[in-house]
Amino acid sequence: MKNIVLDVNVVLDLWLNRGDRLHQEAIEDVFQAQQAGHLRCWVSAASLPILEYCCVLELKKDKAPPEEARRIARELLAKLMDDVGILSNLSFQQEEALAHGNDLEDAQILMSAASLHDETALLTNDRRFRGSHRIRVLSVEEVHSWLNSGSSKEDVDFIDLKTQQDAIRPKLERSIFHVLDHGQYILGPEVGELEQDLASFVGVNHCISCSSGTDALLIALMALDIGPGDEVITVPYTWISTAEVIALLNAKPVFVDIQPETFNMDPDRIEAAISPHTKAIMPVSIYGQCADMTRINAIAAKHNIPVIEDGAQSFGATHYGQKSCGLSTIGCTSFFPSKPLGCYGDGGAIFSNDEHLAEKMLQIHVHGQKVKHRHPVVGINGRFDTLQAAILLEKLEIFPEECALRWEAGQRYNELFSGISSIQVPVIAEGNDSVYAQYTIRTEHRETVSNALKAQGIPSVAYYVVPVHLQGAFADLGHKPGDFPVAEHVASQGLSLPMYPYISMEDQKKIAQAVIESSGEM
Amino acid sequence: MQIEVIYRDGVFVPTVPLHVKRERLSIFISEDEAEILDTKQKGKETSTKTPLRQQLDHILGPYARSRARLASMEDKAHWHKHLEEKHLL
Repeated sequence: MKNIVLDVNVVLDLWLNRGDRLHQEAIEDVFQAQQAGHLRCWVSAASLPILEYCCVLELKKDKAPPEEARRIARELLAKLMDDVGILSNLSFQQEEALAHGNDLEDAQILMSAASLHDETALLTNDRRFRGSHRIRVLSVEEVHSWLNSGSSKEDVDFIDLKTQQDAIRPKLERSIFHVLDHGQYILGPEVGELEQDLASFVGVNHCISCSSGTDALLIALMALDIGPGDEVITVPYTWISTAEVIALLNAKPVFVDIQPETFNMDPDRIEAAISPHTKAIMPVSIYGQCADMTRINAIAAKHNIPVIEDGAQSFGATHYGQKSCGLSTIGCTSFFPSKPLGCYGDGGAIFSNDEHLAEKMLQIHVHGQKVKHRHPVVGINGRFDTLQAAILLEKLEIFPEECALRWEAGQRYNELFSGISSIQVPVIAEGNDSVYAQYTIRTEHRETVSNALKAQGIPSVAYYVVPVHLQGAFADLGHKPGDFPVAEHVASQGLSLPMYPYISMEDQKKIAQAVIESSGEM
Repeated sequence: MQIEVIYRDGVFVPTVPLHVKRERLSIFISEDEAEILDTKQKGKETSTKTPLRQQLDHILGPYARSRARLASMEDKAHWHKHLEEKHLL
């Protein structure tokens, strides 16, 4: 998304209705473009005192009493802060600003604008801004053509975290600096607040945040006392950590194949894998869609086996109206940056309605500590950082809206690939929606398609090309190619396309066209 | 016949689909619900204002008016003069 930073003179022109009708309309159109979601408007914090002073001065010329003039200026500033983002002037930027040129205010505006990621322009009447800057400088007369021009960015991101960061940057800065101020970096107040909000979002009684999605699974297994000689049923088409944590506890991963349409655990194959040693079933809700938890839970209940949902990719998705991670004995998720709800590092969370298990998992995630100096169980160093919790609190605010945008983007892809027989789009099972952590198609021409996309600056990723049962780390299980044919087939054909809440229709069309052309359909 | 309309930006919009036989109609508005503007020009300005302009003018109150655009450096010059007076003089 484009960003536009408004210089003092432009904001004053708008506030005070300065200039002719065309000039006014051009500035107002910038705000309308923001309302329509085409760009984001910003003002540098360095500009605020100047704006207030100049506005008061102008109103005094109209015989406004000083207090009245100040009140009006403050109201206009308050409205501005509602309407646009305020760019920080951070301490480390000042040194660069000083070295930048003669005018410190201008340099501060440029420095703060440089923190914006996407295509950014400075809108100003001041011709002195013209010159060799990292951002484009526009006059009001030029703004229409800039607004109407397409993005100069040709490459498509696989996952775009920058647009989201720009959108909530002031809130992120507030939260991060608040942690720096209070200094409770381990288990600070943000951690507890986040856990409450996450539990409420998922609709369960207990949430324990932790150091990663992998540790969430490990803690869940430890809480169920899984150890040597035990078996845990899971899928071979997943990230390695699902099986890794089972092996770390010297238990045995027992794989069941997946459904070809949803890539999730095939419930029809579970009962054949259950043995007297089975201590848990761990389905993975892959690529953003819940596994068939209704059937899996029913089978598990019949055999009195707990279920751990690996919801690392499905946080925010629903299964018959209930949120992922709240569908089984324990639900685990990941906040890895590229996940639907991602922080700026590693992180994860565990969810349960079982008070006893929750208490045990709470202890395990802090070295098995119940109270200070008392460690009744063996645990791990699995705490979630306060800084990451602070970041997630802000991201969680916009997460429901982002889930809806992900769904819309997924449906747009489906429409674009509609009728293309060589492309199998992901199927969403009855009762499910998806947060499309990945939009993964299947094609027999994966390499050709991937290369064609790359040639056009479009990234794509083939995940899990070697299923877990064929990984060297699990060679001792004695599996061979053909043991899980559906997983192996999907592993040979699956190709994930760029997907994020803010992906544009324009980019999706470009991607779909490249996929269709290279798959021999045009 | 009496119908309900919504008044927005100088335009009356019926709340139900309405077909009328003539282009010009008389409507009745009680005196306490309307303010007659002084001139045609003033009326025209009101009807073409964008919501953003209306909000800004509402904040400006009696000081809302069109102004001449300043030379690009004038705002900054005022600010610098202010800083000079505040900190140097």
